[in-house]
Amino acid sequence: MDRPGHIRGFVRHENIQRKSELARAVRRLASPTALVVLLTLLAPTAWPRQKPNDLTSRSIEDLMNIQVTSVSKTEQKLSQAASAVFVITPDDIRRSDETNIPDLLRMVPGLDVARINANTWAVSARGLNARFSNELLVLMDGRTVYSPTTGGVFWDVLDLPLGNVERIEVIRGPGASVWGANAVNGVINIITRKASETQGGLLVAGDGNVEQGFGTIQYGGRAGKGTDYRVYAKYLNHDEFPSLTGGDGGDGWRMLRGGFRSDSVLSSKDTLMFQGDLYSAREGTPTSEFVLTPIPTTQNVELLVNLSGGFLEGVWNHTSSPHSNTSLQLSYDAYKRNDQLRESRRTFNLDFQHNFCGWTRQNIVWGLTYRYSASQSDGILGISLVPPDLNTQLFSSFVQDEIVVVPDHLFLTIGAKLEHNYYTGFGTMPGARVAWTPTKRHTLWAAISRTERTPAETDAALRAPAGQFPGPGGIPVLLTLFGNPRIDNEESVDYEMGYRTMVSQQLSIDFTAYYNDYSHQETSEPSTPFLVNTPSPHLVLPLVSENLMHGETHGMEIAVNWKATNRWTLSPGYAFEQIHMHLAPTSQDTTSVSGAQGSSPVNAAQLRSHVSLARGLAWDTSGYFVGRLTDPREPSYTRLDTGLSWKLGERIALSLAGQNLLRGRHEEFFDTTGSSQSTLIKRSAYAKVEWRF
Amino acid sequence: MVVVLLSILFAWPPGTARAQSNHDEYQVKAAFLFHFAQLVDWPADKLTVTDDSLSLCTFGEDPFQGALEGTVEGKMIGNRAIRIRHLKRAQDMQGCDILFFGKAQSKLTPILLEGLRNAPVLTVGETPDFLSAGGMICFFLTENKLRFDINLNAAESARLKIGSRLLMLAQNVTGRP
Repeated sequence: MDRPGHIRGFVRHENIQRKSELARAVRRLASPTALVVLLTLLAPTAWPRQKPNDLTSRSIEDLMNIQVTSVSKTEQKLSQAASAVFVITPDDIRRSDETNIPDLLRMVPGLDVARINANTWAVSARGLNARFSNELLVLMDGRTVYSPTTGGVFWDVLDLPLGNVERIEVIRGPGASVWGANAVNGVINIITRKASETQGGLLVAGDGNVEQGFGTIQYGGRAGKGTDYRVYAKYLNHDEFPSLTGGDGGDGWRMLRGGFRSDSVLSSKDTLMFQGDLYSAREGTPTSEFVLTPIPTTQNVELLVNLSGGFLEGVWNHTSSPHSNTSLQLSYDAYKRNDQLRESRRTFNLDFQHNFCGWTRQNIVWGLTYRYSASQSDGILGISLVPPDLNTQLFSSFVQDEIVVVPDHLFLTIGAKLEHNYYTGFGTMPGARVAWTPTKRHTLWAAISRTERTPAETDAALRAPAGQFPGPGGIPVLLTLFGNPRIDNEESVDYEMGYRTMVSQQLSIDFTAYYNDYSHQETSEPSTPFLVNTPSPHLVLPLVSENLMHGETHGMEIAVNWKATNRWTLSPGYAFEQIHMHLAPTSQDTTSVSGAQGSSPVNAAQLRSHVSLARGLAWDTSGYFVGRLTDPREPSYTRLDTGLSWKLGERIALSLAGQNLLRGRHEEFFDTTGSSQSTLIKRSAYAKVEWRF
Repeated sequence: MVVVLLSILFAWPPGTARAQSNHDEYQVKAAFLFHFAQLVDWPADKLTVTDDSLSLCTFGEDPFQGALEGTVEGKMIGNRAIRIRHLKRAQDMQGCDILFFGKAQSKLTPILLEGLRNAPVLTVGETPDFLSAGGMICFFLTENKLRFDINLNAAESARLKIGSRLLMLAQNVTGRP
């Protein structure tokens, strides 16, 4: 239990000190900025704390008329978690006015989100950003959604109706041992609502200058006793953005998807969930091709890519006693994309997890995973996988023990993961975390973990042209990326610490600092050139993947949430990061170091504001500053979005939103793999109506 | 620039905010629980079994974060003083007069309610399926205001007598005669 008196006393003492410091500082420094900064330090603690008035003296009828503010259970639990967790709540989603998941993720300090073009994003946690940044684990209701082909995520097809998202949990830094490989720099877990929470009909329709017509139709109902379901269909039509030279970018896209979810309560001990999705889309993809004759040049190519895919998932949850809970999850996933790789893939996944409190002070979770994935490809524009068809298996197991060292105050979590993958065989990933909660308002935590990024198929099997130049005797030379079948895991040891505090009911602060030690990072090593006679004679200079880079990153992240008044909430955030990479003496790589160091901003800051006006009106604004990148070279930019929403009773809501308002067009990120060209993100606006029936 | 902006926003005293009445959900729920204790009668034999205190228990993680201790603990219901207990294990539920099940324990709630069936314990919950699982009073939010439903069957089979005022204020009462 809190000891409010004790805390109050402490704060008062601190105020006296700070006030005299302030007086000295004011005399010394006339700078208004410094004064304001000092005021900032002073302000949160200087407000007088009132004793909460005794609500029990009010009548029950009075109580029923009090407006309450609620903190979700998950938020509360996460406030004591021993990792850098940020939760995007349904409120955050509704208020953000974003129309897709990657843009929603911008609100998480420490995540790098950059839009390459209308249908392509680069998202990473704590640096090393790229179109297929492969150190992030993305899950939807426990189902892995990153592609084993590249290790990256196709964000375009993750376009579920945002109203069905219960929350998005983002863990920066190495995921706890319960998460799988690929969770090197972060885990994004998208959790959708139970069918019982989306009952009734819903129609969403909107239109804008970029989002040219989008809509969702959904119906949720009850099928017999204990089973709820929903079915939905969603459509979007996104206009193309301007190209870098000012013409049409050729990156417009349209997508239609439909899906369902059912939740059944079978008994007091068993629940069963099924869900599935099917989608079909057509995307313009601006890319390039290397042409060798008559002179070596790069030619722009506009691909029209057809995508289709879907998944089916079933989860059975069994609670055999208050101390024991098991879940069994089966999923089947398939997609087909006729982009440069023209790949189709089917993945079958089986997960089992058992959670039990064996002894009063311990909570043990262990689990097993089996995954079978079959891929077929038939690349074009010189890009291919060797071999083009591949079936792989993954075996994985983990165990984690959460130990209560001192009840309510000190928690220790230790765990390890043992995995066997197709390329590098067995690997172990141990970790330890400790959380100290001296009072419920403060949590201090620290963690050390070792993680591995196991190779994706492209690391081992890719052939892709990367550049060309005229060679000796006029013979053109084609630089070609070669995957390496003997590529090893990338490894890292991560040290993190954090502090989370609820200064008051209105103000909470979350601070994290980290240091990562990377080894065996991937490089591209020039190898012996060889002559190829088709389509015309040229020399191929292979750049072969090796593990010859190591380095360190360090940084910090702050997220603040402040309920300034009853109706106004402000959420500032800031992230700082520096990355230093070094090559092994045997390496001849010329690009990997600067690419790793320069693909994420050193500084990023944000401020989100939510104002509830009268009569169901709400006004939301968010500003994001993203510092410059050095490789790929991109100038810094500030993004400003604002939106007004109006709830007309229970059934109808209207909203108007403007995005990227500060500049007519700006560039955010360049895809160095060349698979998809950048276009300019355009100022945009849309109107939307939501009708529940 | 950003720093200055943030600073100004921070330094803005939220005193105006405090003056208005907007309360934390669980502070209000704590006050509700106090009223429930006043408006419910326990069977006479139960009273003789327990001592002169009325035990208000929470199971699992405590969502009240000190609000119960701050406002309800020690208050008198007739001649019984309210005592707060936060339970972690199912076997400790012995002796509770009111038992609150938070959202976090929703998975376990049906099993625990099954075990409590017919025991003279007022069960209060906040998850949508709480009453159908055999709970007695369930909170829910409507436009940020707290409301509650009552399952009269469950209360009656546990020989608890729920006051008419409480029944009147409930949004829905299932099993009303």
